[in-house]
Order: sequence, then structure tokens, then C-alpha cells
Amino acid sequence: MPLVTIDGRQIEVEQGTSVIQAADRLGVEIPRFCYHPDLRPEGNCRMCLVEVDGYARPVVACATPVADGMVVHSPHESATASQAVNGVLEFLLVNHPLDCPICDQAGECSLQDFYMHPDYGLHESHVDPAEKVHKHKRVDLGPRIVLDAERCVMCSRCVRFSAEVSGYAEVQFVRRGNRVELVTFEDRALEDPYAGNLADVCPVGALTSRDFRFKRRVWHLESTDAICAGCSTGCNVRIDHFKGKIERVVPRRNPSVNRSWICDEGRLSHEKAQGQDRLLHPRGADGGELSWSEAIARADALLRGGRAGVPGRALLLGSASATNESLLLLRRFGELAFTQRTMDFRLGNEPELVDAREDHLLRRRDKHPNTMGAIHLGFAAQEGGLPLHVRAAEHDAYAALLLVYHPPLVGDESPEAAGALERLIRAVPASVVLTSHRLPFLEAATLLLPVAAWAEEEGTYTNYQGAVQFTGQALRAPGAARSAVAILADLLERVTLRRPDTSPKTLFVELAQAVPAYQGLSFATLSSRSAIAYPPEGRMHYGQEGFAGR
Amino acid sequence: MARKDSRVVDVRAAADAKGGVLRDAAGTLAGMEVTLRNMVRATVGREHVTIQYPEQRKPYSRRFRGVHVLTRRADGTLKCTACYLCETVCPAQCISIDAQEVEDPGIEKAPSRYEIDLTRCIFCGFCVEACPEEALIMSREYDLVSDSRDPQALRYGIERLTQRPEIAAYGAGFRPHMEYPLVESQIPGQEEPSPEETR
Amino acid sequence: MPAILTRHTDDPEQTELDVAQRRGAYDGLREALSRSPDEVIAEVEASGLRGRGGAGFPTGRKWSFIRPVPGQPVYLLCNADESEPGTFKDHYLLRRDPHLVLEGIAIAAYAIRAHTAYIYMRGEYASLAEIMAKAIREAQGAGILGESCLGSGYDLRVSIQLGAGAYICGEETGLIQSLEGKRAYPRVRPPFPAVHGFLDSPTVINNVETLANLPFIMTEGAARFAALGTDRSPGTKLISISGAVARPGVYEVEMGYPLLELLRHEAGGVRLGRRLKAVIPGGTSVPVLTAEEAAPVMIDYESMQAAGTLLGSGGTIVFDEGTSMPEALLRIAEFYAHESCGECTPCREGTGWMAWVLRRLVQGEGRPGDLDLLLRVGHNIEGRTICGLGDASVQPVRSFIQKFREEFEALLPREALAAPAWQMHGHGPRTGRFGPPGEEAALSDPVEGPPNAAL
Repeated sequence: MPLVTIDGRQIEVEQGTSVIQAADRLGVEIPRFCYHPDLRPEGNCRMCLVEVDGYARPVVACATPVADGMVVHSPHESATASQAVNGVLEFLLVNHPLDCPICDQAGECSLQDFYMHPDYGLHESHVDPAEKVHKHKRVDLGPRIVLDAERCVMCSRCVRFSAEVSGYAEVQFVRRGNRVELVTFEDRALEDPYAGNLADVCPVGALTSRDFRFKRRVWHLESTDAICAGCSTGCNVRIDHFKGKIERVVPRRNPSVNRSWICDEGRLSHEKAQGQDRLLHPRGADGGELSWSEAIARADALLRGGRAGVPGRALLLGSASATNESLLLLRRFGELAFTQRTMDFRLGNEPELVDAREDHLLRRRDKHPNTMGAIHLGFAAQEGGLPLHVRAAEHDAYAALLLVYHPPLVGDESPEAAGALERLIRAVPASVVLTSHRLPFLEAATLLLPVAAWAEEEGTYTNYQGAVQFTGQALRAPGAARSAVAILADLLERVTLRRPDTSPKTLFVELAQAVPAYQGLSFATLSSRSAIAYPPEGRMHYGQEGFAGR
Repeated sequence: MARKDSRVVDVRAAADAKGGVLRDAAGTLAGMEVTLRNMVRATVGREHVTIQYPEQRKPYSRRFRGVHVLTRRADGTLKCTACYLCETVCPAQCISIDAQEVEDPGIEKAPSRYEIDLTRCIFCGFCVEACPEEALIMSREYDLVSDSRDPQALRYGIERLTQRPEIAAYGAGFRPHMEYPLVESQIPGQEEPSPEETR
Repeated sequence: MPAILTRHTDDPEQTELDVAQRRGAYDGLREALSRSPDEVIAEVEASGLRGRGGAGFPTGRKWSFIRPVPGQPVYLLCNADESEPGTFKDHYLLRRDPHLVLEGIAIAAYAIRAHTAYIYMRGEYASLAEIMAKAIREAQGAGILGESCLGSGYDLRVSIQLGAGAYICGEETGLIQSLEGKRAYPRVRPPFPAVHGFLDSPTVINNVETLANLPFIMTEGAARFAALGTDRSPGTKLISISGAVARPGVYEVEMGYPLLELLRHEAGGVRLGRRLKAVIPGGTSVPVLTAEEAAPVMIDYESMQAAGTLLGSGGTIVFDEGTSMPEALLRIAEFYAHESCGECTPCREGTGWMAWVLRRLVQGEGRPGDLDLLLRVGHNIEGRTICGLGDASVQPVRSFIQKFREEFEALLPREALAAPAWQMHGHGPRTGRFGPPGEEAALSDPVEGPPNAAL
């Protein structure tokens, strides 16, 4: 394998690695606009010029493969490279508008960052603002994206994303020289369901997100790493929020799950999670609001019949949108509180859909983030599923129901599942429902407990591949809503007279012990909060044929 | 306003020069020199050292950092583009802004809400210095009082920051970016200051 | 003077296949087909033929880079885009002797084992495309091209593709992109076209004039070709002369022929009896020569290089004493600003910026430091672009300013000459790493020297 030296530091990389990739691995910062780790290199911005010993001219680090013994000098240490990069930066700014005060990219803009860099920026301008070339500004490219052609640096990341990744190939350059402009064909709106990524790949403020437009300057935002709960893919995202409100959701790079992308539905799923119709207080069958101590006492009485003992079989329905941790506590509660119990999570055919693709890129048909986790935790016995339970309940098989419910964040609950849930709740004499939203088909429950929605609780999800990923808490749950883990811990305390430790670390250790597939996983592997942890090879899948052999 | 000449009294030097009880007394008297002098001026010379505030007011410098003013363009729209630089730089975190999109393609962005909580403001003027458009300047208005305990009373929104009677009464104050031409008709008291006043 | 390319071009009938064949057309192809492709390559290598498109790369060596991969086709592309300003030699050949070009294409295609060849012609040559298409039809009808050329069993399909009139399509990877139906954005090399070219297959791109030399080499032999011209620049060269001469046009000269001799005799000397001021010898992309510099120069690659310029495409532009060099340079700079494809940053922004500065200079609105600004912008473009257009745009700017600086300075307003740059711009003295004008010299490449070292 070639050994390459960059700024005096050596690294051995695979044949075919580009200089910029080697530098990234070494942590040597090389400025770039057009290079993107998940797009084909194009070498057009010329910003990543480096000096290589033995080469007469500076070369572009993104399109130059390393060779054994290559000695590279980045602009941080080479005056030649620094001067070259500065020259390119000056060119990029020749016709760049002085828009920063009203540009949403300001604060996370590569042009700003590079210009302010002492090693290759901070040149004096020789251009009169009146001489700049003018292009179209504020062009609407559909519901997701706004284009400002003057701010464009023609790096073609969006063109390549559109052509290579999403396949819609909707944006392209027209005209020549410094009059080049990004356009869509006949100025049509973008139809790409992944169009939001165009704003993410844009290193400057040319393509900005319509949803985030003028909402907040980026330096005010706080960020929390999370996992998208829109479907079973489990895309890694970063939630940017301000004063308890999510302002935007952007993808976080994870080469083995979502690379650098997310779909627009996932990007906007927080609007539903944090939307209207949230259940804010515990509520009894009479519709009266309850305090939490009353609510927990009533739930305990309903489910276990107080000290008098268990009146019959209990049905515990988990949710494929709940975290592994809450499912673990639900399972433990079921095991400790009831001698006769049935545990399930299936509202439809999630286990069959968990791996089914909706398109060629990321979206999957199972709209739950943790179907695999529920399977791993043993919530799906061979016999089961919602219709079966409804029939059983209507034949008085169940004395009590504990349901954890989160509505799907992408799309609506299927009418069949909603109808079946309503019938189930009406059929079981005592039903305790943990739900984040107020939904008509749950209204008949004996007791409704408000539970935190996505981004309001932390925990782990297991995606379709079996990757266990940590999702963080960005917001406080609204009203009196609490995390499912906290509510279930209260219920467990009633049974064991000792409140379980609900710290994420303890819960994860217990999870790793409880689930055979997760043995060997440790919280440390997750707690970088960006890393994903796969269960060890060969143990990651539920023993069904559909999941094996991947 | 030109800087007033004032005498600096070195109390210690004055005291050290004498000795004994006299020395102590001299130190005290030296420290009270200004007071005594003004007492003599007021009683013997019948000269008014103080003024009858609020009926009488002293002139303030045009660089005075008083209550803020949001300036407007000739067509009456706010110059502010909601860039949030004032909110970002404010050490007291008393400015809060919400932005909205506007139709004018040359402007694009304007505040839908712009509030300064003057109970928290420390009148440092950083916000005015940060403003790239001279959309925010300060007036010479200094007597900021409210006869209500309503916390909103001194929370000025766009309306009061652009057109309260005090702006005309006191005139414009701190305006560090003189190179930006201001629409003079919007702000009274904009007679060009002399160079030493703007230094 | 010996002629290889223009032997029969004076006869308008030469475009007819039977007329051309009577004069020996396709004899060279017959000769080539009787040998193995490798023998053809060896013969061309021995002849010392160098590419006539501008770069002067040995043609035989270029062919030898092709390593056919089983199952993957090889393509020959004939570059008839001829977009270098001042160059119209290929136009002359295509119009006057299409079969000579076609024969050259067939020989080259056979040598590199290509069965498909494309003639990429600029859009403005639509009328030539008709002539060429007729020639191809005739040759195919006569069994010379198409299936089993001249009964040899070697198949060759030749097609014409018209561009839409962009300078960048003459750049070989830009040409490939355009031929593939894409925007003509040049590709980053490596990989080179010889490995990943047209449709990702090994590809050779040759200029029309280069190909037209091949029939002679095949019929007369490499030795006779090499005997013409100089040692390192064998053969003849087509020179397109335009500008202030009495008889502009295309002239074929033996390599090593004195440049001024050609201008004085064949081209009839400078028009209206004026004095010669400057010559651009190889298209606008090469440095200009003053009259004094041009005096000892011969028309061959080495002599041109010794004089600090290049033979290029042989597009010779003559300036007489009445020419305003700044205005001429503005015209050239505007051409490059217009033709920059806009793919990579330095060329996209730099060419436009140079044109902008030159325009205000010519309009009498120049600013102090503008000449140094032009040189600095040029320095920042050169060697940092994907293709050669960036470098090409810098050569005229630098050489014009270096050699005719007084003329440019005369255009600057008087006060602009006196004041230091930063005072006029209304900025304070520049600070920071790339700040004061004097510091640039220390920062630029010590080997090449500062951009204005020669001033």
C-alpha cells in the first residue's frame, strides 16, 4: 500500500486513494468546494491545490491519486500552495455578492471560513462591488429549495448529487465563463424527493432550504445528534434547535447507513412529531386531567387490579417507534407484573416490510425506526399480530391492555391498524395507553398517558440492518409528557418497590445482556453519539429467513 | 460637545505638604475644594450651578448612546434586513428578532418582529456598531422611565423604535458609520455635526 | 517549395473521388493496409511527424499509448473544430481536398485498430460537413471505407459530428464530452483519453492537418518525409496568415522557413507599405513577437520556442504600426472570457476579470496598479486550470503587456500612475499575508520568479 507524507506526517492508504482522502484521514485540513466524500470527484473548484514534491505545478488533491513515497505539502505549510489557493479564493470572490447579512448560509459557509483562514485567506479585495456580474436571485426551485445564482461557486455538487445519487438529474449549468448559471430545465420545480440534500451539499448560500429560510442564524442553533424515526433505515441526522424548537434537521454522514443523505420526508418528520394534537396531560376515561402520581396509581390499579392480584391475561403492545430502552422496561414490567401475559408490537406486517425498499436510495416501506429492536427484544411471537389480538380480546381473552403508541412520522397510520386499535381498546376492560399524540382511535382508553415524542427522549433504535444507533434528546417534552422510560420505571417501581436506574448507560448495559444479538456491544461504542455499533457478525438478525444471510 | 477642562486635585500630595491636625484638615479641605468653590459661587456670586431638571436640560453629545432608533428608507420601509448581527453581538442579550421574507427582490429579508428589552439594555452601542446597514442607531433620549410595572412597558418593538415622539425631541445620537448616507428626513436633529464631535 | 498537403488543392475538381484517385488518393491507405498496424505506427514514428493542432506531440508516440483491451472498442477522433483565432488551415484542407483528410483518418484508424472514427467539426463549418459527407459517401460507395476497406477485411465507419461553436470543444477532452452529448467541460487528467476517452474507451484525437500528412508518409516513406524540414521538426506546415498583410491566406511552407520571409514574399509584405509592429505566430494562445524578435525566427517548433513563443496551430496574425496593442489585446481577452467554459474557477473568473480590467483601461478609466493586477491575475490562472484554455488566455495578456507596456501605461489616467494602489481604491494600506503589493514577489514560486519579474 502506498505510503504518503502530508505536511510531514505519514500515512499508508489503499491504492487509488486520493490525496484529499489521505489528508482527511490524517486530519490535515485541505480547503475544498467541489470535493464531497459521497460524490465522484470533479476537480473543478481548484481550491484543494497542494504542492507535491517533484511536480512543477500545484495539483488538485481531490483528483490526484496517491503514489508510494509521495510528499505532499498543504497550503498550511507550503507558500506555493497557499498562494495558489489564495488566488483561487480571490477568483471565487470576484463575482460573489456581498449578501452575507441576509444569506442563510452565513456562519456555515465555506467561502467565509476559507476567507477567514490565516493560512490562505484574508486577501485585500481588488474588485469594486459595482463591477460584479449579476445573475438571478431568489429563484424558487419548488417547495424545498431556493436558488441564488449569484452566490453559486459552480462546484457542481448539486448537479452531481442530482445525477448520480438521486438520479433525477434536474439541475444543470447553462451559459459559459463567468456567466455560468445553475438552472432547472425550463425553470421547473424540483420533483426530487431528496431535493433537500441539494441545500446540504451546497458549500455556499446558492441553494438554501425553503423550510429553514430566514428562520434563525446558524450560530444561534444548538445541535443534537439523532436518528431519523421516519422509517426503518435509521438515517443519522443532526437536529438543530433553538429555545426548545426544532429549526431544521440535516443529515449526518454515516457511510454504512445513509452516507450523507436523508429524504425530504424524514427531514420534515419533526413537524409531525412536534406538531399539533399532542397529548399534554394524563387523562382518565372521564376526560379529566390527572396528576402523574394519580395517573401512575390508577394505571397500576387498572393493570394489576391493585393488591388483589391479577384478574386475567394482560396484553402488552410495544411500539416499533419506541426506543430499545423503553421496550426493555416494558418487557420487564410484563414479566414481573403478570403471570399470564402476551407481548407483541405488530400493528401490520412490519417484520416483513422492515427491509423492503421504497426507492433505490434510502426510504423503506416500514415506517418505524425500531422494528428490528422490537423483534430482537422478543416482542413478536410467531403467532400474533393486531387482528389476532382484536379477535382474542373480543372473546374476552385479555383483562388488561398496556399500549405504547407513537404515530408514524412519515405518512398516517393505516386505517386498518387504527380501526383495529380502536376495537381492541374498546374490547379490553382496562386499557392504559401511552401516546405522544391525541388520536381519535385511542380516545376510548381507560387511561391516556402523555409520552415524549421523537427528539424528546434519548435511547437506541435498531435499524433494518441490525445496527444499534443512539438517538439524542434535543427538546423537553411538551406539557406534562414524560419519556416512556420514566413512565415505565414508575410502573415497575409499583411492582418491585424499587425504582430501576434509568440512566441511558445502565439501561443499555442491561439491554446488551438481555438481547443475545447485542452481547458484546457496549455503551462506549454508542456514546460517541455519532458512531453506530453493529452487533457482532452472525448474531445480528432475528432467526427468520428473510433476515438471515446479510 | 467639547470636553470640559477640569482641575485634578492630588489629595495625597496636598495632605503630605502639611503636618499635624492642620495637615488632616488641609487634606479634607483640599478634597472638598470643588464643593466649596461651587458653594461660594452659588451663595456669594448668585450663580446657578445646578439646573431645574426636567424643565431645564443640558445639551448632550451627538455621540450620546440613548434609546435606539430603527431607521427607514425613503419609501418608509425598515432598513433593517434582520441579519441578527445586533442580536448576536449584544452582551446583555436584550435584542430579539424574527425574520420574514419580503417581496422586494433587492431586499429579500426584513424583520417581522424586532424587540429591544430596554430594562436589560446596557446602552453599550455594540448593536449599532455591528449593524452593516446603519439600520439601527441611537438617539439622545436618556430619561427612560415607565409608570407601569408591566414588563412589556420598556420592551420596545418596531413601532416604538421607529416612531415615538422622543426621537424628534431628542435627536439622533450614536452613529458610528457616518459613511452610509442616512435618509435625513426620517430622523430629526441630523444637522451635520462638526468633525471633532464625530471623532 | 515542396508541397505535401496542398499539391492538388488548387483544383476545385479535387473534391471528386475519381479526380482525386487519378492523382493517387488512397494509395497511401492501400499501402498501410498491406502492412500490420504496428508497422504503420513504426513508420509514422520514424517520420518524426508531430501533431499540428498546437501541442506538437509526436503522432506515432501518441498512437503507441493505445493498449487495446479485448472487447472494448478503440476510437479515432479527427479534431476539425479549428477554433483557435487566426487559424483556418483545416478549413482549407477540408474544403479543397476532403479525400486527403479521409485517407489520413483511415490510415490512423487502421494503425490504432479503431473501427469507428468521428470527424468532430465546428458548427460554423456546416458547408464543409456537406463536402466531407459527400466524400465519405463516395469513398464508401467505392469500397474504400466501410466494410472491408479496399478489400482488406478491415472495417471502418467514419461519421461527422457538428459542434455548436464553442472554443472549448477543440480541447480534446472537451471534444470527447461534446461528442458524448454532454456539456463540453474538459475532464481532469489522469485518466488520459488514450486509456479512458470517448465512451470510456481508448481514444486518439488527431488534428486534420496531422492526419493529412499520413498518405504522403505511407506512399513516399518516412525517410522522404523526415528529409523535409528540420531535424526535429520534419515535414511542412500550413500557415494561416491574417491581419495587416497584402495577401492573407493559407500557405504551406517547409519547416525551418524564415517567418518574415514568408510574410514579406508569399504574403506580399505589410499592407499599405506600413512597418511591421508585431506577429502572433501560432494563434492567439501563444506569446506575441515584436518585429525585432520575429526577425530571426524560423517556422519550426524549436526556433519558435527559442524566441519565447510557440508554433501552435500556425495561425499567424500580423500587426502593423497603426495597431493599438491594448485594443488588440482587449479583443483577444474578450474572446477568452467569452469562450471560457466556466468549469474551473481560475479560468471562469480570471478571464472575465482580465477582460474587464482591459476594457476599462482601453476606455481610459484605468486604475493605478491595473497592469500589475492583470499580470497577477494571469499568474493565478496559469497552471491551475483543468485544461489549457486558462494558460492560453494568459499568454497574450502577459506578452502584450511585457512587450508593449508603454502603450498600456499611456492609457492610464495621469493621476493613476502617480498614486499607490491602495490610495486610489479608498482602502487603507493592505495588511495580512497577501497584503502589500511588494510582498507578492516574496510569496510566488521561487523557481518561476514573480509574475512580473521580467518587467
